[in-house]
Amino acid sequence: MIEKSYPPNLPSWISDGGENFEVVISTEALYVRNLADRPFPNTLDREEREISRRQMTEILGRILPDYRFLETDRMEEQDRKYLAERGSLPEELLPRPQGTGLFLTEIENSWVALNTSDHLRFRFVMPGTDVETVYRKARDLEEKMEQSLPFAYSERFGFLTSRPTECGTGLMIGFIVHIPGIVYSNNFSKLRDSLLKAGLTLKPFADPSISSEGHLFWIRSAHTLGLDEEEILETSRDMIYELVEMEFKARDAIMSKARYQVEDKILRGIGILTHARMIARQEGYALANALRLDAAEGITLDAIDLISATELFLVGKPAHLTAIVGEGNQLQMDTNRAELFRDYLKIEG
Amino acid sequence: MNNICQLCKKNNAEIKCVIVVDGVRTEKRVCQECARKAGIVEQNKMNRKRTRDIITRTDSENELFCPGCKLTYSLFLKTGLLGCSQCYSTFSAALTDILKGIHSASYHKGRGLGEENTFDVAQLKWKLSEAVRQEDFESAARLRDEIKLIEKESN
Repeated sequence: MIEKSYPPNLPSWISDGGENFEVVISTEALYVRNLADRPFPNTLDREEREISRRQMTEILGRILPDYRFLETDRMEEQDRKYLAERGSLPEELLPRPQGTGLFLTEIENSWVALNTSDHLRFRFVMPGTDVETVYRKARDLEEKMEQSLPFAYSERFGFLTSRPTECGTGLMIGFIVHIPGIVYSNNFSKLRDSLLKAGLTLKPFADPSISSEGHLFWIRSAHTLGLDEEEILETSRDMIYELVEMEFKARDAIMSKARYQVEDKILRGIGILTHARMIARQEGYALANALRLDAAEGITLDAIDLISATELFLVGKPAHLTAIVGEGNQLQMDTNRAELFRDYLKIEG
Repeated sequence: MNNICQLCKKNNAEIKCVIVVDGVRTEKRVCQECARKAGIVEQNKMNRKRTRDIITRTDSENELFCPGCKLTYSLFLKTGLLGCSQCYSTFSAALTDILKGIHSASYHKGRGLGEENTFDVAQLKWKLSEAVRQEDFESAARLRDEIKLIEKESN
């Protein structure tokens, strides 16, 4: 059971900050690998998955001394959700955890997941734009594993994965970006189209079922076949620097053309945060969006710093809220959220 | 009246086509000639061929399945997940089309497995862990010696 903690204990990629953190919250490198000569986990039954988990755990335990091992099927659902909300557990392990496992570092900058639909998925994450470091660290992990685990590979299709969308290099580069400037200046669909053309996908960071006016998105490279690793890195790097420039330009433009509207949105947000007694999840996201833009650009009252504003996106999520202030029904959750958000503000309500 | 091409309004309409613009579907009946001019025929033929291809493959007992993990092609289409390494060779013809659609490529480019020795040792270590688990200590001892030998040689 995850201990209740206040102030909340958050992963390093959110609380450290990094290059271009105003726009890019984090960069990750993700590898997918399978073991040669045995079926992928999605065709194994529970017992077979448990056996393969035991074998992989034995070997990985020696290779990964800095990681703690979690038997995901023995964890409480709430704890799995908590880790998934902060990206420290792949979402695939939420509904079907039998025979799966997770190696996770203390500061949660890296995990290795066992027996998702593939034998091994592992990632490394850093705050800001740091494609080189995440790639180098993930590659180090891969090299270490390759010494003891025989990977499934074919000359024609590269590293073999259960999803044809991931075979080849099996390498994906992802980012979490905050782009209120692009959204406010109505350039969002233009951005989405140009990302698609460059072979990257974009999806909302918040629960897609919540249709808040989100400004926080996941971007991930989608082509793993036909490009070598260097080309994947280059495409991602070029795209992210272009996006950062585009976002800063858009922010400058809206600040010169529509300063009052932006200030109005932010100050209304602060007004709600300082006085509201209940904040629903969707409203929480909208407020976090406005406050993070304010913190990044220093537009109004300096009510919150950039890292705290980033944390708001996470601490308002249900499993986090439960872990931080305790369980409750919808009404209590909304009340707890309002109270917690108020604590984050530097000004008194 | 219904059988007159809705584009040229002269010939008999033989093809029904569905046009989707911004999510709005409109159906038109057109003649062979107009369809060819609009580039509809080729598209339609290709789709028909692909659909037929899938239907024959998924049809009853003759359905293509992977000898490695018994995954059938229709199940793969349903879940989007392959079951084992061998699926890639079993379904390679269909996968080539699918991969081209996803990645605009169907051949791997770039780094492969590490040196041959690394792969051999990794495989032996994996077999060793299997032997230990099954308490087959005789095989385990043999495998351990083999690993030591290869590692010594490569150093």
